[in-house]
Amino acid sequence: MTSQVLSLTRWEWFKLRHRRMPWILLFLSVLLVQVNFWVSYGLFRGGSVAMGEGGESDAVTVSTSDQFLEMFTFPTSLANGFIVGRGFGGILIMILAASLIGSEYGWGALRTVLTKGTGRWPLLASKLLLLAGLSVGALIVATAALAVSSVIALATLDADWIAASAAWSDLGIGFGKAVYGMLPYVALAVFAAVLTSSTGAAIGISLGYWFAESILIGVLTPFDWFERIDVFILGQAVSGWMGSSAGGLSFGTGGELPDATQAFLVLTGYVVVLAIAAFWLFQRRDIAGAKGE
Amino acid sequence: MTDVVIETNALTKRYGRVLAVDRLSFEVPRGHVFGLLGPNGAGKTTVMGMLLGLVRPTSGSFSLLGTKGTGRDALRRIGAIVETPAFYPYLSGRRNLAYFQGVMGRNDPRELDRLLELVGLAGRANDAFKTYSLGMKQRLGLAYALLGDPELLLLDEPTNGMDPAGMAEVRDLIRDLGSEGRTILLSSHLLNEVEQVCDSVAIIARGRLVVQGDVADLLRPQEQVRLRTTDDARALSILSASDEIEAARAEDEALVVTIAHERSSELTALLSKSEVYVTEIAPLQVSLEQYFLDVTGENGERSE
Repeated sequence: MTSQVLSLTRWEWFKLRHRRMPWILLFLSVLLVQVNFWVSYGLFRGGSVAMGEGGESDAVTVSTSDQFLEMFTFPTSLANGFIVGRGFGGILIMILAASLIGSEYGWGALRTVLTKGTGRWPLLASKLLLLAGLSVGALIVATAALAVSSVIALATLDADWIAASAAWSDLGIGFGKAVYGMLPYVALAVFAAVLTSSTGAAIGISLGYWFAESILIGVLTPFDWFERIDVFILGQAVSGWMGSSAGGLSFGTGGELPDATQAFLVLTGYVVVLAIAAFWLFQRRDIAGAKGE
Repeated sequence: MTDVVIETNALTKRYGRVLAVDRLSFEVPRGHVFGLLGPNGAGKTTVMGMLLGLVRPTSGSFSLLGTKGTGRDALRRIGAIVETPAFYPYLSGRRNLAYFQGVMGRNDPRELDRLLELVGLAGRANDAFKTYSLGMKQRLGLAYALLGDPELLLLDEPTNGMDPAGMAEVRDLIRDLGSEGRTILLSSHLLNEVEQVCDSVAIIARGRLVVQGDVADLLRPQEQVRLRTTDDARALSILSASDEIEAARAEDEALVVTIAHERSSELTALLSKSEVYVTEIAPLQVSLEQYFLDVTGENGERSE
């Protein structure tokens, strides 16, 4: 079973790498991380910094300036890249996941694959495995591009390349956390695609959920009772897991972040439940012909 | 070795209130080219889907290649096209086939060359599937179905969308594949296609089996000719009285006679003996709907 899933994953990659979509999404993820980095750089060079703690005034204080400068030094720039990359990457990987499954229904090719004795479980498992691998790959590429940008930025700044408080060992953990933080969104998009048998509907549901929860968190944060349940909301759990706001998009402060262990369990719960629901549906449902999407 | 390759037993599929397939039972013997004949909406594709594990039967059972249900091992020994063949539009024909060969756990570029040549797509093998005409898509579908040299082929309307020359080529190919000893289940709404290609046939209408048997017994007697004569009234009485003629009737200022097309000359000879001369004669293309009315009667069903 394992060898079949691995073999199918290889062939899924064969098929996917000839599509334009994954390359466009990879380019976008790199671009968005770069834009985030260079906008911060521009703000720093311009002397106008608005940042979270201690960022109320227009003038940059010495302490916040040092803090801000550290964003461009290693390994902090890379660690921040993981957070930002997970934020934007989460959206883009949802689009890719929805397309990877939904287009099989839309083109009717799912019938063609399954009639060769592929097996439904191994096929869906191979797609999930590929998506997880692509999440890792995209984050590596985006981070590598960010490292180049850091070098360029540091060459123009009077600063040490390595931050005084450098903790290289945390870098691997940060990377793992960023990848794991994307998985619930992959599982959500896969479930939505299997449920609706449509790329468009799956993207709509996934992105709709993303924006809706961001708004919801912003609106409900002032209420005391929300603190007791906020960890169960995916976006808050991801923020708690990453140890910072989710990066990318946020429509509210989100208040206190949930505990990392609790957040990990909630994320695992989301991944397991959504994946089981997707497999169950995929296994049981009739496979219709092409929908022309 | 099992003599019956496909066996369905009261196979039923219901979509809500719609009964797509109703207690369908038929058998396909090994080595036969078996036709599943019925008008559009008769349930042919649903039957194919159930046999291939794409559609879950509501009730009933079936066995394929001696195995109950659709197992993965059985599917590896089957080649199939269901409806219009669907492939990845951005991949070339060759890459599509390479992908499907790969998911079967095989990698044999020579097989791809051979199959592309066989279906006449070698010259367009590297073009994207989305640029193919419907006929070319059907050809690629046939190449896909033949991957891995399957012993059983399930072909759902394989000539759909093809021009007459393409249809003839594909029918020849199917006949050749059948003559090599493969078992083929061919679904079609084209009476003449089934007649030309198949050994035996099951006719279904509204999801139910109407009749099953050898093509020669079931379809060929339905051949008819339409003729005009110098004296239609007399011709009708001569033909009706003849033991050689199965049936004759007057219809739209002409006569319609049930007779094998190759025996048309006997018809003209019979009439000319009585000095009634044929002025016009043409084989009548019996529509499937008309044929169904004939074999099923007003109720649209014929008890077995």
